[in-house]
Amino acid sequence: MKRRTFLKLCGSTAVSFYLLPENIKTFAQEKDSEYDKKLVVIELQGGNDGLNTLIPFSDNSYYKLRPNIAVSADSLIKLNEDFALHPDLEDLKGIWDQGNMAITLGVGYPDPDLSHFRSTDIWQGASTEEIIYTGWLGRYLDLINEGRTNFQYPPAIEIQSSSSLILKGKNISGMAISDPEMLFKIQEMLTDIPDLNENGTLMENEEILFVKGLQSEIDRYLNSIKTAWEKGDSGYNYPEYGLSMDLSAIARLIKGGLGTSIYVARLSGFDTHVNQLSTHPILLKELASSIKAFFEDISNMTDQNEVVIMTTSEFGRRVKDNGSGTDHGTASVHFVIGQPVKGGFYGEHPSLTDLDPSGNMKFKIDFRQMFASILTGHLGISNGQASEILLGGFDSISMFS
Amino acid sequence: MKSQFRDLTPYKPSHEFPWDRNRVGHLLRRTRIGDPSPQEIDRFLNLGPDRAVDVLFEFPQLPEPFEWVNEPPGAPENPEIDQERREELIDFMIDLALKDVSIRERLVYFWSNHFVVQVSKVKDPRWMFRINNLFRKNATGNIRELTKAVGKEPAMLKYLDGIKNTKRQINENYARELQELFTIGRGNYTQNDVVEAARAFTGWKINNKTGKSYFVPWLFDAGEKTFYGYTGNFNGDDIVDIIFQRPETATFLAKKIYRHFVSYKEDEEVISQLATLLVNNDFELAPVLKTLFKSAHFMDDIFIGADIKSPQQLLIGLLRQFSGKPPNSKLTRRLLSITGQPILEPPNVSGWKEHEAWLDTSTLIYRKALSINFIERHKKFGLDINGFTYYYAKRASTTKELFKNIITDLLPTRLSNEDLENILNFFDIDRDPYINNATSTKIKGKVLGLLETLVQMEAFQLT
Repeated sequence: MKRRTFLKLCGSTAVSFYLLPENIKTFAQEKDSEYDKKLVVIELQGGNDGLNTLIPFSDNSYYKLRPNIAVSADSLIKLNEDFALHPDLEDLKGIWDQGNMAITLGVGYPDPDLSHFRSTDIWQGASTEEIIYTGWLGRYLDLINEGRTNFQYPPAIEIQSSSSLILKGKNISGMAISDPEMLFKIQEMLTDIPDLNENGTLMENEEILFVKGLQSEIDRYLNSIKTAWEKGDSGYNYPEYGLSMDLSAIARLIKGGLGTSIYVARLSGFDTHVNQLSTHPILLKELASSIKAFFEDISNMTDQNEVVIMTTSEFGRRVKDNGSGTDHGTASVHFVIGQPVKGGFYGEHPSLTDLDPSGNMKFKIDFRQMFASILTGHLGISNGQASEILLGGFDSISMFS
Repeated sequence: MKSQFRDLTPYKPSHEFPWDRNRVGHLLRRTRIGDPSPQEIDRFLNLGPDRAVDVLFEFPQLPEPFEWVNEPPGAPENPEIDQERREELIDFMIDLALKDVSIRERLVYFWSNHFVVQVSKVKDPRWMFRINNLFRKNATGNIRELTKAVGKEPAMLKYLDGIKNTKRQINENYARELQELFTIGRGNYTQNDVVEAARAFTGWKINNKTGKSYFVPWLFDAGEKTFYGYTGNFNGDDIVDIIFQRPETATFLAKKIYRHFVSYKEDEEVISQLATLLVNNDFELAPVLKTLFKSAHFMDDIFIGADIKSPQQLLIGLLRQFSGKPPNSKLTRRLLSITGQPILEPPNVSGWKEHEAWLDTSTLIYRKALSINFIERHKKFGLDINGFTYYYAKRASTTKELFKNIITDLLPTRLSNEDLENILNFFDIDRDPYINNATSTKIKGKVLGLLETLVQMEAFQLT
């Protein structure tokens, strides 16, 4: 049986599309300047405890309310006279000292929802609508690529995961990749299959078209991914963590010159209801050492100043501990890291004693302000466009130089 | 598109909606794990629709529990014992999913993706087995009583931190997920209801030696609680009873059942009838499911092949169609992992999202690789392609007929004549048309080629 060829993709409809004069221009403009900007989102799944990530050690209430899980004052990595990083975030200290790390304080949103799933949707969708259909980065991609369909590279990539809401746009969505080498190998195993016939009923079957769409994405993007993957190999040694492996794949694709601008990676296990002292530090260590390795890996890249990492998480955790862990909370602390970032603290830390009725902190920065800053300050779109994407106007924070 | 059948009135075979191999396949695909074998399609076709559903509810005897369920754990001294037990449990689950003719193993999966626990947190295989077998024992029983029992399972007490939830230190984890994910759904309770329910669930511990849970009165918060407007000294069972009195709970569960068994495109009208049926049957599941599977709504063409196979359905289906034996537990686990359904390890407390979420650019190619590999290296995987070929060759006189029958059985979608012709045209079958003249190796070669193509087709990903 004959192995399938990529020429096959240029089936009749595809070829005629490329031959339309208005499309030749877009095709030539494959590398628009804005696409050189890269954003890597690291989702901390389960609700990261901001209070044990950045410790407000000068506030006595912290130690009073967390008798069982407070991080002891003598081990802290102090950043100023009020705040310190958790000792297992040591690997971020160098980046902080170079002035490339913004720490946003008290990030949350009004009427917080304490459900993991609802709050994840709210963050990924940047929306509090009852039903959320698209993600904020999906809407960003929709907007900057209006009308464009002839991508030769994936507009966005998610590593090791199912395509989630965050990259879902109306017209464009992200591609999920777990192991590029396997992708190349398997793709060579595939053989031709019967085309869908326009007279049949299968053309109207939504599920069939969905599956077909996925395969044609792979077919379309494969060459660009392969080229970048081969070119971007630096042999840099990452630590042996899952997140490190994912970030190393992202670094390799970026260094290889892939046009993709948006990347999403994930670290899960932050739902620390119990035994927080034994589980949370391990996750922080994985986060910090992976981020450090990522930036070292891309440090010899000429346009490394175009790469920014941002952390997100569906919520923070309760101020008062529950014996050995913490229940679901609200506001939390986040990091925005990279060459173009102006390091320092942004916002104001919420009070640990003036709490909402559930015993949770009152947020100071809306997470959509953080997104607005990324959209305008880093990805370079206008305030008006950012409002369109975020479904409302949110003041951005000037954290980019 | 909505079904023309707006209620759960029974299905009667007709010229427009015949009881044929494709519709039998639909019933079997939706009520069990994985595609049916050709022999099973024959058997259920002969039973007729009504009897076919009844037979699905005739359960084999409950399997004997492993001896180690009541023995001490391996960890911390001998963690390798736990590892062996986990492997045994995986073999056990896959084996049953493949062999059980009834709907029971499908419900074991359904409940384990509803009352979710993850082995990475529970760890102890004795507890994983217990909860797995509870789902088997109560597969089609009373949902309210199952909910009560789940809350006392060591696996759940560990997974959602019930053992850390005491009178002195309330832990909200179980009380929240019970309401949000297991019973009534978000928006129907307050944060205060979470705290009050958590207090009612206090007092449970696990005996590590026997692997059983037990109640400790002095750890229980015996004070008055106010929950959904009721006040009293409630315990966990009382909380469940109160939750099940709410109409929203029946709707929530009906929606979950509908999405899993009929379509993830929700039909509110039919879901509300299903909810009423649940209440009228006091949450006994068997009669509700039987009514559903016997309905014209469920049997409607638009639902046939209108969902995406789970990785487990894909794997078990390939084995069952070709009378294969499951690979060893390590390989099984790996295959299910890379295709997006690591066994015993759903992604989080809300379980696998299923349906279109099974497929993305990554899992799709792994699924294709798995299927192609199974067919190409059928000897290694113990697939009986000879038997399969013989079955179909016996029932056809021309190659075209042979191909047509295999395509109809293997692709879950209902194919129009144009679809079938289009697929048949892809293959070079007009040369050497009569099977009787062909050697068996020649036929087998042709069938192998056909299968290799079919498993790569879009429709093969459906169920």
